[in-house]
Parts: sequence; structure tokens; C-alpha cells
Amino acid sequence: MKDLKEIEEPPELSDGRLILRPYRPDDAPAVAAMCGDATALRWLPMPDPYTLSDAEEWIADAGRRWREDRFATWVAVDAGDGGLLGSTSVRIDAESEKGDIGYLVERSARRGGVAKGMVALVVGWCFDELGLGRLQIRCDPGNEASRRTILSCGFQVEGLLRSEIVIRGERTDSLVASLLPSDPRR
Amino acid sequence: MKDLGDIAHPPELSDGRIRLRRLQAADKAAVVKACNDGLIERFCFRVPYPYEESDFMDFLSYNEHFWTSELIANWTVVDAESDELLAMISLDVVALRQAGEIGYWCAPWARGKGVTSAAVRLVRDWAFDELELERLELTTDVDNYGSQRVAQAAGFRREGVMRGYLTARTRRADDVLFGMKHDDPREPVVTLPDPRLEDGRIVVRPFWSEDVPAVQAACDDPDVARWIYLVPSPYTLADAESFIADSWRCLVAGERARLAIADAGGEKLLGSVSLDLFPEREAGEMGYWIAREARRQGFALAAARLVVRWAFEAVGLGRLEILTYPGNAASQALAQQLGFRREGVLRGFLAVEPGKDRAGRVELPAGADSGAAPDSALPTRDDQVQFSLLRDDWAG
Repeated sequence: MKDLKEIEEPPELSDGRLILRPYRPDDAPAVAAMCGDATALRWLPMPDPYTLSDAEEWIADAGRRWREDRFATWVAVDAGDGGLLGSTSVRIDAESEKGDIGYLVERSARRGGVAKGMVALVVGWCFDELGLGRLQIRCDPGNEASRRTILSCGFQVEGLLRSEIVIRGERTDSLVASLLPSDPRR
Repeated sequence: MKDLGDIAHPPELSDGRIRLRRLQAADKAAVVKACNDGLIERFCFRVPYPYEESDFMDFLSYNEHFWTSELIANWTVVDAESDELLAMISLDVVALRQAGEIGYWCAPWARGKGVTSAAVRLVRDWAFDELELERLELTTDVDNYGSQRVAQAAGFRREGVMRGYLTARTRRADDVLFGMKHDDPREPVVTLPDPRLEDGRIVVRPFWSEDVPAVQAACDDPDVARWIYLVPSPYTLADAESFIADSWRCLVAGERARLAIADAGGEKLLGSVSLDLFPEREAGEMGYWIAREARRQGFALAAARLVVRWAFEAVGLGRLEILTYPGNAASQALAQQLGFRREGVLRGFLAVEPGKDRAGRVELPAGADSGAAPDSALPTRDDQVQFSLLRDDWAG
């Protein structure tokens, strides 16, 4: 695996249609709107209500997140007009050379393949650049859109983790799915 | 800060259970007995060792002048009812900084009962409320886990490690600095509740440095290396020392309880049980190993049961996990005996450790000769079978 100390910050990644780039301070209003959306809050453990200052704190913390926690986070923007389409992340466990991917799609961009595009870019970086040995995605079993993304990216569902996480005080189940470097990518 | 000239001598302090009073000539036998103890020798370098009766007589005569000449308040901590000597505590006022430094030792017979923490709370309140000091400090050796727990229980916050801070007898020691401001909350700095668990047959407790040889002997075993991720093989005394030092660091930081399983007397090491914490999801992952000669006697199951109860009732977790290699039938049977449910196989979950014998980690088809597969035929990463137990499903 690549030595993560050599990577000052997660790089910009693009497939020609989507660009994943590091957060910028002026993303705060769009990030606050995206994260404050009711569907986003239903599935993800973010503060509710999600305010502009929550977004500003999240953006300001990005450098520390990578350096200390090996938690890479990007916004996804349209390669044409630069508009915010979503956000994605991978939390890397350097000790056992694996990563846990997360993503969120802006309301107006849903059902356009954005999640699949973001995951494919993160998968490519993690396997081809970093040399990780496993990637996983966890999602609520009731989150139909996320389950579709997982399967369409070639991830294999491994099990249902009961009451696995806590979202604002409520325990919820997670489906866990994985992709190995030897699996076919889609 | 108050004018300390107004205070002729530090007053007696009491919380009803313990009493802090002036040292007396009659304390001689108890002080001499307490100070000839290995932990006091190791961590309280100002206490002479071996401790003679003449050392006590010197101490008694200085003690009369400590406050008036040096602004050091010193108390003997005794049982409020029986007057039995339990500990010693001091407050060294640094008038220039309007601050105070607390020091203490606890007699071997009084340890593990919260005596020292209670004494620190009494001195802390007197220093802040009566002397009106601005700040209190205490320092402990980085390896003095018991003392760090005392500091946390009295509300002190860990502020940093001072490298090469002092010479303690023959070695140069790193010390942890704990500080508290007069307006800090006077609540314990909670990390993990005290892990000393017993069922009459075994004790689950933190590791001590005395366990180093037994840890080395138990872990230098191909079965332990095979089933426990990142356990070095071969396993040296230095590995055991760093394992125990790291177990203290993690316990004080509240990240992980890596505990010793010992016989009912708490002395003979039988194995280890651990609980890694994931605070953001109120979950924990359990693991264990048992020394070869202690296997097949139910110690792992007994220890795991104690830790399950502790995790749900004292730590307050909602979910416990066990991850094992697919070939580790004993561990999977243990998970099932504890009431854990199998949730799935996490593919390629662990990286392969260079140089380790992996025979048996992989689940081979029925009838295959286990252990015969050459390393080249094994997958490049190892799967893990995941089990979980929820507090809501736990029978108690």
C-alpha cells in the first residue's frame, strides 16, 4: 500500500462528467442546503437541523480529518457548470489496508447516476493509486437508492449488521457490502 | 488567593468515609509497612526505599514544619471510623503562581477502593475554596495507570506528557501532567468505568508490569499468533512490555480495555480479554486469548461473560461484535455460547501479516487436509466472520 504520509490532501478526481475536489470555504451554503435535506438526514448521522455553521465547521475540519483520521472527503461538482452534485468520502484503515466509502447526492441531482460516478472514482483511487485490499459501503437496509448504487458498482452484500450505528440517539441496522480488487468493477 | 499566613496549620478534612489528619508518631508501623511496597518504590521516588523506622522519624519531624516553612500541607489519610492508615497526601502551594501540586501514595491494602480519589477531592476542594488557588496540578509516571485513574476520578484533565521530566531513583522518567482550574467542573473525567470484574473463579483486571513474563510465555505460541491479528511471532519480552504499556494508554484514553484474565486471587495469568470501543456508534468489539495450559477449562467463556455484562451495564454499549477467522472454530463456538448471532463473512477484511503462518485461518472445504495448503495457494487477504450481540437481545 502507498504511504499515506506522502499524500498532503486527497487529489482531484474526474471522469469527464463529474469532478471530485476538496471542499472550499465558499461551498458552505450549498453544503448546508444539501445536508439539511430531509432525505439526507433520514439516513445519515448529521446534526438536525443542519445549519450553515455546521457546514462551515465540516469544511474547515477537512485538512485535519485527512491528516489525523485518514478520512478523505470531497465535493462532487458538475464538470461543465461547477454546480454541486454531491459529496463523497472514504475512511481509510491503514493498518489493515481497507476503506469505508460514504456518499450523499444533492436533491436536484438524484437519479442521475451521480452516486455511482462518485463511488467509481473513489474506488479507482483507492485500488489503483493507494493499493487498498478491500472497500466497503454500509447503508440502511431501507435506503433503496443506496442499495441500488452498491449493487450497480459491483459491491457484494455480505450481511445485515443489526443496530450497527446510532443516528441522533436511535440505533439502526446497516447492510454491509464489499468490493475487492479481484472483483469485476462496473 | 487567601493570605496563607492566616492558616497556622492545614485543618482536618473529612467526607464521612475517610479523614485527613496530621501525621502522628503512632502511624509509624503502618507507614513503614506501606512504604516497603514495590509500586511505591517504583513510582514514588521521594519515598526512601527500603523504608526504615528512622525514615519515618525524620519525616515526622519535618512534617511539623512543612506548612510554616515551605507551604506544604501533608495529611495522613485514615478510615473515618477505625483510624486505620490508608494513604498519604500532600499539597505543595506554589504561591508565585497561585497554584498547588498534589502528591500521594496509597497503602497496598487500601488500593482499588477509591480512597486516594476521595482524598484528592477533599484536598482539591480545600485548595480551591479555602485557599482560593487558581490551579492545581499533579504528575504521574506515564506507566502509573492507577495514579492516572485517580487524577481522572478527581476531575483532573490530562494536559500532556513531559518527557524526561525527572530522575526517579536510577531512571529518567516521562511524566503525565494533569491540571485543573478553579472553575473546571469538579466531576470525574469519564473514560471507562473501573474494569475489575470477578465471578468467584476468575478475575478480569488491568495488566500490571508483573504480568510481562506470563504475557510473553502465553503469546509466544503459534496458536495465539495465528488467530490474533498483529500479534508478533516470535513474541519477545519487549513485545509483552509494549503490549502492557499500550493497554494502559488505551484504558486511560478510554479507547480500549485490554484486560488480564487471572485466577481468583488475581495473581496467576490465564489469558486476556479485550474490548475495543467505537463511541460514535456505542458499540464494541471483543477479543481474547488464553494461555496454552489454561485452555479447555471455560476461562474464555467466563471472562467474556463478565466483559459482556460490563460492556452493556457499566460502559453502556448497545452492540458488541466478535470477528474471527473462518477457520477459528473455537472462537465461533464461543461467540455462539455467548448468544452472539452470525451476521456475515466480511471478505478480505484483514491484510496478511508478512512472515506469519496462516495455516488454518482459511475455511477449507470439508474433507480437505487443513494446514496442508502452501502459503502461495492462500488468498492475499483474510476473511472475517462477523458476530454480534445486542443489549436488547442479551439475557443478562
